[in-house]
Amino acid sequence: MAVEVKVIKKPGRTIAEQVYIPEIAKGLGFAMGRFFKNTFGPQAKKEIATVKYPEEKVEYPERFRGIHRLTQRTDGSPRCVACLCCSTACPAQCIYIEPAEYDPDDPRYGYERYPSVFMIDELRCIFCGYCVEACPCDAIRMDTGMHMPPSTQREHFLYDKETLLSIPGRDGSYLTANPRHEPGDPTHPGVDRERGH
Amino acid sequence: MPKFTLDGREISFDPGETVMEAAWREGIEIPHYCWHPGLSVAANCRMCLVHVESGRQMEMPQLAFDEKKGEYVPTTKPKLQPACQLAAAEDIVVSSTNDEVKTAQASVQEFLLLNHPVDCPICDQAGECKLQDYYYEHQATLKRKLTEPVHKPKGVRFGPTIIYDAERCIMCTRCIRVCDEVAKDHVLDMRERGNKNEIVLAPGRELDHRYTLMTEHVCPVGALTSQDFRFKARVWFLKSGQGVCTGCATGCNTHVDYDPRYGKVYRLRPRDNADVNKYWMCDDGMMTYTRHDTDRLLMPTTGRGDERMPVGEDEALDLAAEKLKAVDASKLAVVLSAQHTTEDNLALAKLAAALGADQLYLAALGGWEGDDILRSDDNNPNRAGATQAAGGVTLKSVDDLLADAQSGAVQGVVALGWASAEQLEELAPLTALDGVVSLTSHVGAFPAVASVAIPVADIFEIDGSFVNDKSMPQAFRPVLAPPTGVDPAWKTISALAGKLGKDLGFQDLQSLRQGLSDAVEAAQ
Amino acid sequence: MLNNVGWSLAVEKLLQIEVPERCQYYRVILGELSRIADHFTCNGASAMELGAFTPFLWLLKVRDWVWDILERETGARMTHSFGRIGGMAAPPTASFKDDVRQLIPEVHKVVKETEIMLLRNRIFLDRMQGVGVLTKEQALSYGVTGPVARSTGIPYDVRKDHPYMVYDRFDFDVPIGEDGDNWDRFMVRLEEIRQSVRIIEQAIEQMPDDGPINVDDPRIVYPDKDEVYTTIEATIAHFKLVMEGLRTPKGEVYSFTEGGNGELGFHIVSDGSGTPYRVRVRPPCWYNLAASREMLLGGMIADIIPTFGSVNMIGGECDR
Ligand code: SF4
Ligand code: SF4
Ligand code: SF4
Ligand code: SF4
Ligand code: FES
Repeated sequence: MAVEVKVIKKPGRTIAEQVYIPEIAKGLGFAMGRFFKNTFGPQAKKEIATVKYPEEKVEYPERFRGIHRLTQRTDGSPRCVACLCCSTACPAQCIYIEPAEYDPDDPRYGYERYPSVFMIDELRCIFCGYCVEACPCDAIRMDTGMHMPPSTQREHFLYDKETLLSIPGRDGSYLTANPRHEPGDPTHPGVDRERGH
Repeated sequence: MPKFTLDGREISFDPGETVMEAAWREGIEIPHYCWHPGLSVAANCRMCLVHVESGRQMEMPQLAFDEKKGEYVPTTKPKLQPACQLAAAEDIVVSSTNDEVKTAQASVQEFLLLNHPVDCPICDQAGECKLQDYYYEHQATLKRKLTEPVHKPKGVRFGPTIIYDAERCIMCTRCIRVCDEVAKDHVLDMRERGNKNEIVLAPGRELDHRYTLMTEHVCPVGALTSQDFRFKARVWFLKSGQGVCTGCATGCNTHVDYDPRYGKVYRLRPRDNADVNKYWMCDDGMMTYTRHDTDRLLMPTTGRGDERMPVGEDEALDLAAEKLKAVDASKLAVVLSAQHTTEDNLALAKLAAALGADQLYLAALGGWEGDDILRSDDNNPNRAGATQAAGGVTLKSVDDLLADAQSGAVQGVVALGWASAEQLEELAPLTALDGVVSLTSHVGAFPAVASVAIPVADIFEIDGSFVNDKSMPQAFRPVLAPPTGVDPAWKTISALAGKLGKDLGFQDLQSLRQGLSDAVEAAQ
Repeated sequence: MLNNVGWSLAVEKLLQIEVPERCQYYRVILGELSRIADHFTCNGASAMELGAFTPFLWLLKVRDWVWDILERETGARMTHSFGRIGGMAAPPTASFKDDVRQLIPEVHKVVKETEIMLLRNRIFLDRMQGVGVLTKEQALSYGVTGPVARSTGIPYDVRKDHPYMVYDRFDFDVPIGEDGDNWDRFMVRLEEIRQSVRIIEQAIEQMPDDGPINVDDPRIVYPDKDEVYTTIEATIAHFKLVMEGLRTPKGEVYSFTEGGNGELGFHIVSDGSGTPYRVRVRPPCWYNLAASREMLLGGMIADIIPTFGSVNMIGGECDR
């Protein structure tokens, strides 16, 4: 395709522009016109782009990546199995996890793992959402619709497992959408220690 | 040497070799699960199917639909053969990449995954799993089967070291063969068939021989997991260094897997060496890595019992020199260590020579049983090296040292290493002497009785070599950095010599090693 | 967004794949929206630095509306992190096309208003015209691209000269200036906003309403989450991508696109593993900044302000 070029010409100047005063008056008039229209005009609401934060807040859109949360299984245990996929994918390296085995009296003992430590440094996080994408269990999500509450202390930005588990999703739910059942779950269709090996 | 062609490449083979072996030797990997270079051929996974295109091809009758006739007509298609069992023959042309083979590989892979559980997130094998690798290379399609997979026992305890998951198992029988052929103990077997297959223990037995971790090591998938490594780390974070096992005088070659972020070693794996350990290691050897960060001595100390207190590095060396100077050289015992590298021992032997001390002893561990598979009767990795370092002087034992100390023939000790006695109390008589200097990486019998203990680097932190029981010197490289302020023993010894006003004649490992060949010569 | 897509295109070139058509249009529209946002910011700030605060606020107001759309689509106003090799992180939202259609008149309106407010103002004219001049030859010798090069009269636009994605299907002009002064740079950007709107208008009409966004290969794009949760094949593919990264064939590739400030190039050397052996970025601003010396020499200290504003130096791109 031939390159279509549009040359931008320099406009000449009229005396009125060179004198400055008439043009500045025109400009001021234009701006003032806007001022009155925006403040008192019939469409005042629409024309003003700002809101009176924090009394008014703009709702975050559906896909907004807010602070993280960890989802739970129906029995309240963390859905996370400490596979470390999220911390592998995290470009800011702000997720620290220590995997552990369940207690011997837990039905999941021997089958499953869980994070004994799960820590996100929300200050270091760049809110890219890679962790959510990398999670193979739907255990970590950023659908809280909340941004980081401000604080003057660094420690307040280190979110531990309990904090992350206690943040609900935007819909108020804590549950995971992952339908997988593991042995140890009452819903697991296979054999386990209770039902005999 | 006769030759055959594999994927357009000429491969020479020894008569009797299989196509798989010959290719493996040339560094070509034909996809496989059940074949292992150190085990017998089972040919049960069918992943290694190849097409013999000329020479000895086989055809298989089949019915194919003929569009024109509108009915099925008998034809043939090439019959693929398992490379792991196919004897290499002169001038055959083998393909492991043509369309027939690719279809077969993808189908076998899909078949193996048919009832596989969705376990990668909790599976320790993820990252080094053959199922994952071959899926990526040879299948790369999504699941077609929509029904619930067959469920089988999970988390079965096979013994103190191994946990078994039947759902993840692909029934390659490598674990059975490793028990039979390496450990010579038929403790595992297979029961049932089809998708009910599972690996079971012999009735009344546990998986408790000395090579149990080898079953986990050969398992190409995550069906067998090691109780020790379980859930500890993700293998894709681990880096690998080359080491030599410190468990016994065989000196098995190891991969030292460590996490560079935390400077922590997580496990050892056997490193193939046809002359030493072939593909294997024993359980005790595999676990020697745990010594590394337990009971380390991190600060120089002085004083005994309740008066023991930490001192600075330089201060400790001064103190040690002072104590050693107070002892007449003829009454000074120099204790080499069978746990330390030849280089460290050589440095100490040089110090002894420079001081004119000629009472040399050797500290070694005991309490170990050998076998005729891998394990040597001597559980010290470097007795031979230490002996060579002494350059022909006879090394007395620690028991002799105690006797000499009591008789007054020894009035001061400088000892390398922590490993010297089973019980800490055994060396208690040495507390009677004022000048006992211990250079050690760990807390142990010598540091317990030392009046000055100086920390030195551990085996994972140094360059060095061991001489094994077949007189083979084997070198290894450091994988971790030593703790701050801690040096390799040879450096510390050289510094100590400096404080004593002696020059040992080496500045770095290279010039020290030159001395080694001299010492080796003198020993022979 | 432009950077995300530029990088994805580079790796896709190495992989020799092309994303589905719907995704290409999606990328074009989001990219042009980003370009509009960039030019709004740059021109607004240039004006503000010369004391004209009102146009700045007006431009930023509409930029915020652009960002509203980007936020709805990507989940973040500025750090979109939305482009993926082999596709996009998510398909367009249901309201995407309508949102964009509603935005277009606002963009036109604010461009018009800016012209009314600024282009007859003598202070603005005096400080922009004839100041910070870069000649064609200097521009070429410094490797300057983008609006800065075009303002000197070089009609180089990667979208036209080496069309990528679906840019060859759109009808748009490449605005160029005559003297390469601040005024020309300002005006070229202003005109480019109009041209971007033209592209968007055409792309919105041509973009299919359904169809895949990502290429269909579990070795390149994460499989569907539902599959990952329930089937081992998808889980393995997912793990392979997380653990090892996306494996590309061995080789070298240079791929370049028209970023907000000029040619954005990525030179990748791959050793066949999941991480690049070497990546070299050719950021437009690095070269543009180098050329600003020629623009500033012989001028007044006060001229630094409008000149620097119109070069639109992005700090991150100059951190080499
Ligand atoms: S959003 Fe990105 S930076 Fe933040 S924790 Fe997740 S992966 Fe890491
Ligand atoms: S949040 Fe998800 S990705 Fe991260 S460790 Fe837990 S299960 Fe794995
Ligand atoms: S054996 Fe391999 S494929 Fe199976 S769960 Fe473990 S890592 Fe995944
Ligand atoms: S447990 Fe592992 S080694 Fe043993 S048969 Fe199963 S897959 Fe093979
Ligand atoms: S490797 Fe040949 S059949 Fe398994």
